[in-house]
Amino acid sequence: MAQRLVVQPQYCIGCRACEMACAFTHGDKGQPGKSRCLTLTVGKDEYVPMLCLQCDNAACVQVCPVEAITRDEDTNVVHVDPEKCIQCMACTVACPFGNMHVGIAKIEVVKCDLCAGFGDNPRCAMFCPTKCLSVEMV
Amino acid sequence: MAFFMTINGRRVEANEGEMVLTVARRAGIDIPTLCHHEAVEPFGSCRLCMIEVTKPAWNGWKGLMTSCLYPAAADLIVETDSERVRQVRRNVLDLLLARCPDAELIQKLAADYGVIQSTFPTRENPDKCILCGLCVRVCETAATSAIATVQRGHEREIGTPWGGPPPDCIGCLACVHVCPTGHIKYEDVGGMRKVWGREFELQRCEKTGKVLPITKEQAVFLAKRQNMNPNYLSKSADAQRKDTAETLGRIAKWNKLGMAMAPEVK
Repeated sequence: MAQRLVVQPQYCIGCRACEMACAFTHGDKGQPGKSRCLTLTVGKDEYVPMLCLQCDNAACVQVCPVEAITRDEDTNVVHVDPEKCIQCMACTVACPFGNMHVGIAKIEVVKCDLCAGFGDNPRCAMFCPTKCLSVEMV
Repeated sequence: MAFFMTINGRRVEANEGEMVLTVARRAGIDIPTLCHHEAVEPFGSCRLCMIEVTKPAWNGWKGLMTSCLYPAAADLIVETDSERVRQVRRNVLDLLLARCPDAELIQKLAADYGVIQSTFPTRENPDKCILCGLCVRVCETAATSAIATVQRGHEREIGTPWGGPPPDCIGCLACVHVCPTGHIKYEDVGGMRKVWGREFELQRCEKTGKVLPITKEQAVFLAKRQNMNPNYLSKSADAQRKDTAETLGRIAKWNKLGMAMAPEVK
């Protein structure tokens, strides 16, 4: 069953609960700066949460020289294989939305994988108080 | 097609065409390796992943094989930690420790197998290169084959054409990051990258002028080989994220306006 994360910035109140949820789920010691979901301020009281959009024709998949970034056909999620990655950092530059992040150790790339392996239930959506981030089954 | 084989007395599932190392790692059985990397084809040069294999039809004969190159087969019986295997690995690590006494990873692995001091005389002016050739193979797969093994016998080393700065190198640092012992060194200073004795200019963000983690040569190479629009490789992640957020913010504003203007449904 594939799921899709829906982002509706008009409901975002900039509480950054998604960042904290992400950092505590994936990160080390819950560093919000190293979260895979970043909420940007674009105007007065206007915020946009930015996460990987799991693009259909993804630039990161296309640019990877060793095919370390692949799409899971069942869940439609783009995954980075850390065993295959050669840390050339091309994907962090290629992503047209800037959603490929450099990890805490500074040598690995991390991206939103809709919490695969963590109950397959995106934590950011679970903690979002206004349903700005929500999960839709497709 | 999936079948079953035995590793350390455990029945594990394997698929046609897989190597024993892949099967063992998936089953959670640890086999030490140095020259193995998922991104490249197995090569079998470090000899650390040795295992003992046998089959019921072989009348008790047991062979020592490299697990990264030995194909999995039905009714194969594998021992990954027998006394004979440990002895072979001990010998390999003894030799590697004599070659690279300063490499931390070799020291640690050797200590795990009970080798604290090498029994062989150590090399004069040792470096950390174990000649596994992983950097060469990664460069071949992911980049331009800019480096190769040069010379023969005890003079063999990883080198560049004629010992000078490699003309084909794109400065992607794949060799640096896959090197198991950290032998290859690089420097990123002030928008310039120095590796293999060659200087590269790092790509800069078109919008903010921030230094990007890829070189100009790498951007040109990737655009050509991966069939990308070069514009994809010219902006920093921060600038891209900001652009997208502004666009989405504008859409959100229209949506808010739409919500306010819509007649209330009661």
